[in-house]
Amino acid sequence: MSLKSQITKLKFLWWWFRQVSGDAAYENYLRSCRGAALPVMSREEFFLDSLRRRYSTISRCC
Amino acid sequence: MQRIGTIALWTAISLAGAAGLGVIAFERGEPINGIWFILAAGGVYLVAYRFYSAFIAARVLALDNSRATPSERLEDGRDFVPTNKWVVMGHHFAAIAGPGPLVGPTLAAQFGYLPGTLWLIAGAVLGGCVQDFVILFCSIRRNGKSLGQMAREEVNTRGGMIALLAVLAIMIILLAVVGLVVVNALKDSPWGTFTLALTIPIAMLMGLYMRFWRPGRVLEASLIGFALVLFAVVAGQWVAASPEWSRVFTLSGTALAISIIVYGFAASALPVWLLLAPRDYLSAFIKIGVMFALAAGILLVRPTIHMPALTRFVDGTGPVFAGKIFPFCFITIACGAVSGFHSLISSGTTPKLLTREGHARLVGYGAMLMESFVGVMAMVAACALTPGVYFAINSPAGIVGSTAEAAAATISSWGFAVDATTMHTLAQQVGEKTLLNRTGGAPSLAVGMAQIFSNWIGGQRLLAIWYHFAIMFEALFILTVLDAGTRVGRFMVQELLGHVWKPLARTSWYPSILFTSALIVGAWGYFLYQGVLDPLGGINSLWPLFGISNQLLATVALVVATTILIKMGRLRWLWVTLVPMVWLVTVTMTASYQKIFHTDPRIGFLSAATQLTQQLAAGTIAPDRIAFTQRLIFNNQLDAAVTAVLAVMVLVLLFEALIEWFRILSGRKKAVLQETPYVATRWAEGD
Repeated sequence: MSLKSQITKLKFLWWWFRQVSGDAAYENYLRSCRGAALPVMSREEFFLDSLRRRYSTISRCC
Repeated sequence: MQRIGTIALWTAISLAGAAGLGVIAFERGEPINGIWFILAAGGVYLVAYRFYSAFIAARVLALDNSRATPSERLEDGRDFVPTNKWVVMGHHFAAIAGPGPLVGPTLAAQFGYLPGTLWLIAGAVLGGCVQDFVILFCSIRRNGKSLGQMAREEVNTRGGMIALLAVLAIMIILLAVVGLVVVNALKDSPWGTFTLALTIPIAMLMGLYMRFWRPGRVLEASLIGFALVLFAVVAGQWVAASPEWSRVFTLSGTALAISIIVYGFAASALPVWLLLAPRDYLSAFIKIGVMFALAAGILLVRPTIHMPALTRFVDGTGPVFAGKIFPFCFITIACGAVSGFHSLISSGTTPKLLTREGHARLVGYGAMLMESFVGVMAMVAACALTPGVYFAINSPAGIVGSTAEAAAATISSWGFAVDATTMHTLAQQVGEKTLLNRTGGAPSLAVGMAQIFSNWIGGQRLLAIWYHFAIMFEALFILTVLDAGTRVGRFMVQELLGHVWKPLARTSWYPSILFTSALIVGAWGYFLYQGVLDPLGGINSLWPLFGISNQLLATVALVVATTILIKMGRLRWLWVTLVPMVWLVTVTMTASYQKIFHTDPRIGFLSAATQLTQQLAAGTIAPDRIAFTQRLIFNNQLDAAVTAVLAVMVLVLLFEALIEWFRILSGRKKAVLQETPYVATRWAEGD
């Protein structure tokens, strides 16, 4: 396996890790807001809003 | 040529799985290696995923990648967010993986390794994965609607209410029983109690970090939290070694139960960013890390399985919990094979994230296979213990006696050799005062995991650290389930009470928050307290109750799934959901009947109540224990009533579904599906 493909895999793993953990959630939100008429939330507002949403519904199982 | 290679590969995987199954099913006498379990499970899962889930995707559900999913049609950047399938898989797995697949198989190991392992594998492949997958598909086709909404729209209006009440009931029993697992793991353990207590300020620190200093920087905060938790595990031994501090953190079962009840109330009423969310981030990281580490540990250490394939307790006289293999092995394993709770996640956040219908196969079916694999690993860790040690840890004092000598004598008389010195030495090695009568599965799993991990890294020197790391890991994410469950339970109670008095439904009105938090915490707290007082250790009555409620919820999910398949006209493939549904109805109804009416007082709640009533009447109860006995009688009657109500609710739903099916199939009623209309995706194939 070439070094380049290994680096690509590691990059994907890091990207996946940031996505799953929620670390990249705000960047995704900003991307989805591009061109939207709604006012864009600040990082802090978005964080609190996403927590409120997540824990208002069943998010963890037995 | 490529085709021949593919056929050869899948033939090899199938043969490896068959060889693994063959060894664990037929090898007798000689101890076998844990690797066979991994081979059997891995082989079967791969074949099932490659062929059975592909068959369900193509024929039964006819997934259509040209159809726009809710995340495309309703994209809002918050709830409906188009997400890569591997990321959704990660989210979904983190949501469904809870303490059930660790605790259930550990308890079911009392029958021997064979029944539990076979059910974990077969139940997941044919039941649990199918349920998760089909419900996810149904919800995608309905804009991400919940199981309750689908039950209301596709079965009948009462269906939704039954689903809501069933969810609330299962939540209350779940929270009580997992709370009891934590109590039994930390009872009289200053090291464990200190470590877990320290996770509360650590989580709060993380909360402040993510709220004020570096908003939303989840990875940074989790890394800091993880380092601090590791320090807390190590620092626990200094606390245990100090006579003064050790006294402060040595708590009885009752004191721990009260602490957990107070904690649950606080976590439900406090803002989520302060305690619940950071704890959840921390526990999700540690949970996934430990599961991978356990898999690596088993592969590297290749532990020998000391538990026999079948034990004498298949006759129903087991000390861990009473009842025969059928139905109690299936009820006890619960989440590792089929979990009704998953249907709530499959009809919750997940369907709002998928970009293609086809991804439901990987996420719905695939994630449940991983969950089941966790269950198999827990089974390996529990069965790698010497059976005598396993039974000494997991048997309540009411059955084997409370002294090491009495317990060793009773357990040895069952044919599982163990002596008091062995138990004493083992307790010392893991840094505990005693490991006897620690029902609930967590301590024995922690000993099993610690032995695997210390054989891999650190040897005997690190056994105590690994044991307390494992205890911290189990307790940490059990408390996360407790926090999150209490909060959602509070919202459900608010929704229900809002029908009586509107202001109670306002989720941000503090009097309502405090009142409904107290109600929900009071409900699970009562069952938890009852479990702590139970002379048989509590797990014997509460875990089957939890298993029954969980499997009843799975029955509800499969009834909804079957109804939708009938309405879709997929009659030829109806067996895919119908067979697991019929099996679950049979298991849950038999278990419910036995838990209520069985003549053995250790199994039947009513006979236990009758036996105690007779003892009271005969005057054989000491005067100072009369009030306590009366409470035990009431608790048994309450447990019987809860079981009966749950079973009747599901029977009502099933009966109404059967009428609906009959009317549709006989042409008396037109099948009307509540699917959203087809909209073609605008995304190119590779998106």
